[in-house]
Amino acid sequence: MDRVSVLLANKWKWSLLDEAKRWGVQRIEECLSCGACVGSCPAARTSSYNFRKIIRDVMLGNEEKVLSSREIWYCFYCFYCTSKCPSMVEIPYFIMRLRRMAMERGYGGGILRVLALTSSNLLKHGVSVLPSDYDKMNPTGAEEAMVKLRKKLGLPPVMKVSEKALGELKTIFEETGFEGEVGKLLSGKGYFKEVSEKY
Amino acid sequence: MVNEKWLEKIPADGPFYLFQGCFINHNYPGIEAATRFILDKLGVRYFVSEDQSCCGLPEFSTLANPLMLTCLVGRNMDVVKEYAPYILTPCNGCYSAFHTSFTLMKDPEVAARTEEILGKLGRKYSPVKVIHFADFVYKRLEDIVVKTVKILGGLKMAAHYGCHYFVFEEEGLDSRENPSFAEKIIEKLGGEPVNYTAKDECCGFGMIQQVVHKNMAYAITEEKINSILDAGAEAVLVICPYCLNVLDKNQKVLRDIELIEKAIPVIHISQLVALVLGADPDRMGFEMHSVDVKPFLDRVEARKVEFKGWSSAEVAASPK
Repeated sequence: MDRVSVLLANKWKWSLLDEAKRWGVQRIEECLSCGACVGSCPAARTSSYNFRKIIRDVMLGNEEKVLSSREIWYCFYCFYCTSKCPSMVEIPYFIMRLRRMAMERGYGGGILRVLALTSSNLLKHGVSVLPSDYDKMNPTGAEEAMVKLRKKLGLPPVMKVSEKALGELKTIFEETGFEGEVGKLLSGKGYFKEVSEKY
Repeated sequence: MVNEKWLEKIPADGPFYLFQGCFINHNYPGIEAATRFILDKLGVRYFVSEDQSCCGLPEFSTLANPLMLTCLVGRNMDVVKEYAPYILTPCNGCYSAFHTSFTLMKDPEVAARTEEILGKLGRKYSPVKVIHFADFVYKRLEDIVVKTVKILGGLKMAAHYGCHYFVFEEEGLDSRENPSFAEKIIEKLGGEPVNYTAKDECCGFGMIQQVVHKNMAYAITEEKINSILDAGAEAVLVICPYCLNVLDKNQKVLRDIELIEKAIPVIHISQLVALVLGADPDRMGFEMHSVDVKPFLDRVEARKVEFKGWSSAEVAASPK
């Protein structure tokens, strides 16, 4: 960073912005504050979510406020905002990055625990959705029912990821730290703090 | 406006690797049966393998782990290479997983770590062209129309594209601002496409909102369905199994609390095309739909050759 940026970063705490600006999200400072994103946003219509507030707090470096709140978990990841944004800011990727940063700082407890249930399927079977997730009334017989239906439709039984592939996946789960994350979330121990409802 | 350049690049004859999305394979097998039926009818070769895994999007959208997405996508693409040069998927989720990973790989740190992890498996990250099944249908529409044995008897259908169909960096077959190719498919198959105000909006799934903030998901589905009903549609056409699930199942709840006036059947594009090509409606997996599809099936009629009387030239030529 050049001298001016360093001084500004110290004064305005831009480190949060720099850390958030990854994963292909480059144009975040080009936000014009025009509000097209909020006007088109399904989450803004149904909750207190307001991306302009979030982006302002990121620019001002209000790290704890942004990352500890429920606000960043409202995004629908629908990209409607990006299609309306005159600067083409990829807001959903940016929100995903903020969620990741929140996790790394130990926030997001209750929400993440619910979401980790899908991930435990992947760890065991190599697929994320099982027949039992759908057929909640009949969790034990769900797979059998699905195999029966698939037979009626002239299809092979449900896809079972091969042993060879599961072995490779195991390496990926360990190397990416995914297995550890899911384990911590499902252990029930307080590794993650609950989100703050106030913003 | 349909992007002609994108259309040109879609391989019409394959061969394809038919990507086995978890949601289709384990919950909506009717979509898989219909897709295979269409490919067989058109004589297109396709392959499947049990060496593939989940696409990785659920892991990215829930626990926001970028490496899980890039590594799973990279591994799957390496598996696919052994079978076919293109991936075909009838799911917006799987489709966007590949494209999201291409974006994430622009981050040098993510790219380096992904290559390192895949290297340990003896694999490497090299992109494969991914084709959405709806794009394929549009590309082969003329061939499909020639082979149809049934027709939609003027059925009013509303098309829902789904958010993750639209790929921003590379455009895609249509832009998000008033897309039109699904309407053309409906029209060519004898239906009447209807336009509605909430066309480019989310179905309500919101990746995690259907699980985390259910009330928000229901509110968005309510808006969507009411907009479709106001436009006078009799069925909804979707190109993604998740949109199918949310629009279909949420209607049951919305109907119970009387937020929508009536329920409307939701049909996946593969089911629609397979039906007009003569597939047995009993083998389209409609058991898994919660809204009754009978009103829709009743409108799929046998195609009759219209006789408008002899033309004057034919009358003149006939023997007296």
